[in-house]
Amino acid sequence: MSELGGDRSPAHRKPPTVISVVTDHLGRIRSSDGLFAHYYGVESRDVAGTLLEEYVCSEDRPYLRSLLTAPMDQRVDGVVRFCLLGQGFVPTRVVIEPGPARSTFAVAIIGRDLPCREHERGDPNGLLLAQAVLNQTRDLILVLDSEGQVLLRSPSVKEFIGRDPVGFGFCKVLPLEPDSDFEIKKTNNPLRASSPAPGNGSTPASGRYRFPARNNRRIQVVVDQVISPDDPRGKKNGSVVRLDEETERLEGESRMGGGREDLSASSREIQQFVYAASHDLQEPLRMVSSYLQLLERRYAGRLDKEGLEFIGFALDGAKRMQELIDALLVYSRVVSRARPSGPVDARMAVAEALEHLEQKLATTHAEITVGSMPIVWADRAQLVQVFEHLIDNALTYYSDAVPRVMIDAERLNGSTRFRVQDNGIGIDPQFHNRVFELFSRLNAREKYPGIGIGLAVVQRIIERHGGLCWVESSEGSGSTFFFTLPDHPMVEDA
Amino acid sequence: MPRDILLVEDSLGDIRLIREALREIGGCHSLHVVNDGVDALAFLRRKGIFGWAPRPDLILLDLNLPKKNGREVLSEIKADASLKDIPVVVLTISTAEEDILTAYRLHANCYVIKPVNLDQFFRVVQSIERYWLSRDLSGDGIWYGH
Repeated sequence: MSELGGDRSPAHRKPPTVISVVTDHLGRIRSSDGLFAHYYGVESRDVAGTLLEEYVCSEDRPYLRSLLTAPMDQRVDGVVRFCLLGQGFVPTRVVIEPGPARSTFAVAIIGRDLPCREHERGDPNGLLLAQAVLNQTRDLILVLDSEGQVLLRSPSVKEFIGRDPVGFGFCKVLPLEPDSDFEIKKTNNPLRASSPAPGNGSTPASGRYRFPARNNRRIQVVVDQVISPDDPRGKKNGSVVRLDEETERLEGESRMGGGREDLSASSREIQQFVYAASHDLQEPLRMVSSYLQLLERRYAGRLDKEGLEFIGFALDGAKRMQELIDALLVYSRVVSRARPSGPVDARMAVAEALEHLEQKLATTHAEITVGSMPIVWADRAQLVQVFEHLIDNALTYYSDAVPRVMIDAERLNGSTRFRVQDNGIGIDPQFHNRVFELFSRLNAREKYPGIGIGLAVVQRIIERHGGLCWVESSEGSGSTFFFTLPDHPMVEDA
Repeated sequence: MPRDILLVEDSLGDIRLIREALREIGGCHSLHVVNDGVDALAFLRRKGIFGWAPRPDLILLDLNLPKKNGREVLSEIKADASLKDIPVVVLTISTAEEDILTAYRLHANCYVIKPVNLDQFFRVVQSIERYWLSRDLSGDGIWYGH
């Protein structure tokens, strides 16, 4: 497939050739287009299963590996020398992005001035011309081949979806749902009898949809059948798809939308307030506790027992306030220090959380069992935090028995449900909702330490990931904490 | 021979704490205190009322200062050939990673987070004194030093 979009190469150069490869996280090729085999001198059927680095100059292999192991939150870009058939090592740009399935990478090898292949001479399918036309519009227009794969797109489509859909199936990159609200309200309109069906599975049908990945934005899809540009003999149907964003909104909805914007602005403000307050509160607090300590240090001999006790209470208060400020900071960082999500091996996340809890595990002699753990789409550091707080909780609120913690996961339709089960003191069902509130505690501080931050952080992280968390428990019989993480819209079941 | 320390700090409480910590160590220090970034540079360059100022053996620099902040002071010191070899210890409450990185990028010799606990605070001041003025490496404290 040729790259025809965005890049404006100088007129005298032919457009770069984009060779697409999908690899797993080790760089093993899962699939590639025909061009890869053509240019790098192997039979198409032999490509899958080989390592991408085998086609690269040995000196550049560590670099390629480093590109493939970079955090997957954004596309990475580099130049490595590929061994081009008949031409030796040619420096070639590679662009690596998260791939179509979990734990895969989409590698685009961008070859410049590659030797022409027969069919590339000229513009026999009119793709270059079509792209040039598309580049002139601000509308959202895509051209699909007979399989529903995106061949071309107007520049604004990339912004709308958040990534370049070229080379991917339309229904994969733009998972749409029929707009049922709309249908219910308009069923009595005979002109609108045909309900939007999701098309034939790979190509959409015209109709009104919602786009769940983008705040359920309403979209009208208009599909025109054309002769597929990838089949010059004209036997297959491709399609030209136009997406119209709905601008008129129902009254209630616009009120709701406005409210949502206000909410996000005010939550940003709260965020800044919490950060500033917790930061600026530390300074005077440090003075209070430092000088109380200095007082104790210098004047202990001159104070009576009661005087020392009073200093003790004051210091204890200052210490608790410091803990609360630290907790507020931790809580505000769930948003302020959030990183983009990527594929995370949940087993590794649990292992890291256990490492952080090493000391507590040793003193409590806890038994930890970890069941099967999938790869999920999450902010890695935050997933570790979730496990850390949940396991820490289990190690804190234990009864007389040796604490036993069981962690496992179950794939549900569209999400993964995790479970952290303990044999601890349990929670009275009437408090199940309160345990997730910030600074809420159910037990005397003297008996169980803590200030009620862990589960609040867990809930905030899970909500930020679009999941849910809850607890099932009764007093005296252990607790089971559940949380779900939705699948990434781009991730299909591997 | 007394050691001259320049403390750039605007919090009276912190100034006193550092003074107390140095007093507990004993030894011979003269602690010179200025309260903002402009005065710090005037002191170092012996400008105006600081015409008498000695060249300090060590600078303790807070990052959040009035007039000219600690980052600006640090970058001016390290850009000045006659000042850049005076060790600068950045002493601050900020645990923000970017503050730490900025300080090192500007060639701070050491970055110390002011601890909340008094004993820790005294130990930190004492280990700074030992390391930078007495060259005694047995101190402890919260270190992010080179």
